[in-house]
Amino acid sequence: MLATLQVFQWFVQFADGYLFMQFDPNGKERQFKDFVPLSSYVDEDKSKSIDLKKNHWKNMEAEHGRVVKAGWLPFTEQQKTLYQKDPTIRIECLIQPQPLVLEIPEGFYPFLRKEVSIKYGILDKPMPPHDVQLDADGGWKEDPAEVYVSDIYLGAIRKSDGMEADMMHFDLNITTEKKETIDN
Amino acid sequence: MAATYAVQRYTGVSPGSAATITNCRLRTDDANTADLTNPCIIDSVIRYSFWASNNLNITGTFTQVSNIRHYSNGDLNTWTLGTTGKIQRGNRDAGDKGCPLANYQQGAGTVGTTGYAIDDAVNGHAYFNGQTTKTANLNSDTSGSPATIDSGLYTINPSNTKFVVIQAVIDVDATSGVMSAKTLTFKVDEI
Repeated sequence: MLATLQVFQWFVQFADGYLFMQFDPNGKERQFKDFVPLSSYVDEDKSKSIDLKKNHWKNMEAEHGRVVKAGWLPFTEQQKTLYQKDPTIRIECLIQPQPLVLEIPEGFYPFLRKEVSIKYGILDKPMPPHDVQLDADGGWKEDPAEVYVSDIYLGAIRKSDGMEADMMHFDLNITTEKKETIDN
Repeated sequence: MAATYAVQRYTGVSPGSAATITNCRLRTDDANTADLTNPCIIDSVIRYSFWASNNLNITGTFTQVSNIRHYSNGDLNTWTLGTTGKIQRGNRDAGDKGCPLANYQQGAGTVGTTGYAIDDAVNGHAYFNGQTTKTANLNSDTSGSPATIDSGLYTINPSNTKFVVIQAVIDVDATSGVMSAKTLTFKVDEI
C-alpha cells in the first residue's frame, strides 16, 4: 500500500462563517458520499457516480447560507503531526505556504477537484543472445513507486445553468521521480 | 483513511494472479519480478518481450475514483531499441484503451527468446488484434495526451481497474548498454 502524498486540502466557507474542510478536527478525511445531496448523483438511487460538477454543498447551504469562499489550503505542521496516525496519508508542508482561495459570487457554487498520480518504473535491458546476465544487484536498483495529489482544480459554477466561471487548474509539479542506471 | 493505490501486474493463466509492483520489467517470460532472468534479447529478427498486463488496485476509504489514464514521460525513445523498436501498448479503435479483467490474456511466447506480438495474427492478444489499429506507441502517451485506460467509476473497496497491456519491441539494430529506468504514470480523479 502506498500512502498518498498531499500538500493541499480543500475547504468551503459559508455565509454564516462556518468552515467545512477536507479533514475534520480529529484528522479524519471527510468523504463526499457522507454529505453530498441526492442531486449530486447521476442516478438518485446512489448506484451510479457523483457528478463532479453538481452543487455538493446544497444541504449545508440551507443551514449556513450560500458558500462565499472555497479553495485549497496548505497543511499546517500541527496537521502533519496529527495525520501521521493515518498510514494512508502523507502530508508535506510547503516552505512558503500560500492558500488558493476563490470568492464565490452570489448565484454560484464552488467546484473542487483533485487528480492523483500513481508512478511506477519500467525497466528493460535488451541483451545479445546468450550474453552473460548480471546478478540481481549488478548495477540494478529498485525505483520506488510514488502516489501523490498532482493536480487540483478550483472554480465556480453558476447555479442557474451550470456554466463554469473562473475555472483554474493547478499542476502541483511535485517531482518524486528517481532515475537509476543499469550497467551493462 | 483515504484511498490507496497499488500498481499490479497480472501473470499466469486466466484470470491471472495479481502482484503489486513498483517496477515493471519487460522480459521474455511471464513473470512479474524485476530481476534479470530471461531479459529481452537482440537477435537477427525482431524480438518482443512478453506482454505485461498492469492495472490499479484501489483500496481504503473513498467516495469515487474515475477517469483512469496512463502515460509515459515521452522519453522511452532514448532506449535505443532499434529502427522500429519501441514500447507498444495494446490499442482499441474506440472507447477505453484498457483491457477488461474478463479479457485478460496471459503473456506467452518462447521463454528466453521472444514473446508473441500483441498484434500477432495467430498468437496475439485477442482483445486488441481484431482492431484496425492494434497497438500504439507508449512513447506517444504523455501527460498532455494520456491514454484513457478505463472510463469506469469505482466506489467499492477493493476495486481493480482495466489493464494497460504493454510490451517491448526490439529491432535487430537495437543496442545493449546503459539503460535508465523510465517512469510510467496512472492518473485518476478522486473524491
